[in-house]
Amino acid sequence: MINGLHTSGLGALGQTTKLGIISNNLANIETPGFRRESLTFGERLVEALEAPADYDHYNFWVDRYGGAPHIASMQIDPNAGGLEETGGVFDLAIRNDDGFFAVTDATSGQRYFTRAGNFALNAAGVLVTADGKYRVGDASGEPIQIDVAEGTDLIVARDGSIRLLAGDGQFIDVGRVGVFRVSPDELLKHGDTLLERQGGGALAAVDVPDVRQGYLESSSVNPIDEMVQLIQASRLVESNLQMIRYQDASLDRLINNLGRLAGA
Amino acid sequence: MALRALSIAATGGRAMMRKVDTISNNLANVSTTGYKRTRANFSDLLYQQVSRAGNLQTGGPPTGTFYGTGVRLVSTEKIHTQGALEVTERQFDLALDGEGFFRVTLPDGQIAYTRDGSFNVDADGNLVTSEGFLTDPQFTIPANTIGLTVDPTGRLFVITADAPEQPQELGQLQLTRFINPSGLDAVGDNLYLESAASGNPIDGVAGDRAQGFGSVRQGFLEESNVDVVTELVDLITAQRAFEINTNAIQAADEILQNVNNLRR
Repeated sequence: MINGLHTSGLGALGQTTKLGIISNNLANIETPGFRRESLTFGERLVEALEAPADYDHYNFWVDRYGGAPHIASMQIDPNAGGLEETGGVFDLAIRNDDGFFAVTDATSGQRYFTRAGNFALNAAGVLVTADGKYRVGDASGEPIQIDVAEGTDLIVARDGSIRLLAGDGQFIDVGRVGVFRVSPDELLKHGDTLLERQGGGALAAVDVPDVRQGYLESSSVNPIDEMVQLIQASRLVESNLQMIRYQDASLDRLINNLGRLAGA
Repeated sequence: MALRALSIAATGGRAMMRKVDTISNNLANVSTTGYKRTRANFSDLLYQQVSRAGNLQTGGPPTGTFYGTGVRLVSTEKIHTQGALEVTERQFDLALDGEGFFRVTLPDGQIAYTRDGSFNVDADGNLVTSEGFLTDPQFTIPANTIGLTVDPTGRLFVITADAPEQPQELGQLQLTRFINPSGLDAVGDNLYLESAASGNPIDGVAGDRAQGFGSVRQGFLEESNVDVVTELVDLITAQRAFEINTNAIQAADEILQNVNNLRR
């Protein structure tokens, strides 16, 4: 029974963690480039209870029933959200399923990956993320410098190459936005809609990049799916808590009624 | 999933959201020249068999027992019905009355197909689409042209300033048909690309009724084939279907609540 209390407590904790993930997904329903997260639970066998030899045959089964699930893994959605047309000159969306922009932290030099293409130019003319903290990398990961004085219109072609339309009607090549192939399994969320790459190994560029200027990738969160998950998770929290209540009531009866010493 | 109803209703909600997305796109393109409306097709998902239907020999009840798992979006298809012809009286506006597509050469050399006949002339006198793509085959309008006539078979005649009495034939527009036009890849910009499903391009000329080609009408543009009334009725049914699915979700939620409250 005590063991059951722990199991129910851990079950409620697991579902409460899931509620936290769902809340985060819903909060980020408008965040460009956001990928929803989901938990998978794994079954866990209860720890072996120390017991005298007499109870061996009970322990055999105690070892083999579950001791509440643990969080086996957290997945990042590998599917992109919808494409939204914004018309923004620095808004870029990647159509390749496995392609990511590479950005570098201006202070630490650490590299991250993202699908959120809502970029801007900082005061020095460097292409940066919307918050200004990270520099967008070109095909070799170096920052991209654009001198707007040289031209009027900025065109980003489908292969990521950036061109400025100069006054004389000619196009000046400015650089090329890098699109790199990273497997979603290798990625961990870092914040700022950025992902950190776990594995080592060489970073490969996508064979045929497909970058669209004037579009942004929307959040991959679907409110209907999240609400259904939310309903289930909150009901399961409730179920586990009810089980705690019930087990507590039974223990109470056991200790205070049955266990009461005669005449006390 | 605690109750199948939750996940099944979620599939219903998701499907209706996709249907509303499709209708939305049709309504957004109600004024797009040559636009063909999209229709979403749905199908039911796998059934989980508990017992198979049988007869006295095989045993089993006459209908079997099975659980459905919901609905999914099977395909979206373009409905290629003729759009109405709008009078513009502009000499470069061409509309196709009947089947067939205009051929266009994309900058990368690929051939694309379109029903949008709002042509223009570029700085070099070439006949181009509104995007600036050359037609296939290419036509160059002479610099001293004072009038252009396109006959219903797509033959172009120009009247030049130096020979106003004698129309000169520039050539004939080429059209293409497909066995399965709904199988063409819609790539935006009013363009379609050949796909594995569309069948091989069947090239020909306008007015060739034996081969199934329609006629070219100069001074007209083909309107979008979206019927606003049909779309609005579909929108109402999709929205109500979505609502009904959310009712199912609420009912499932209440059932789970009752289960949790079985023993307080």
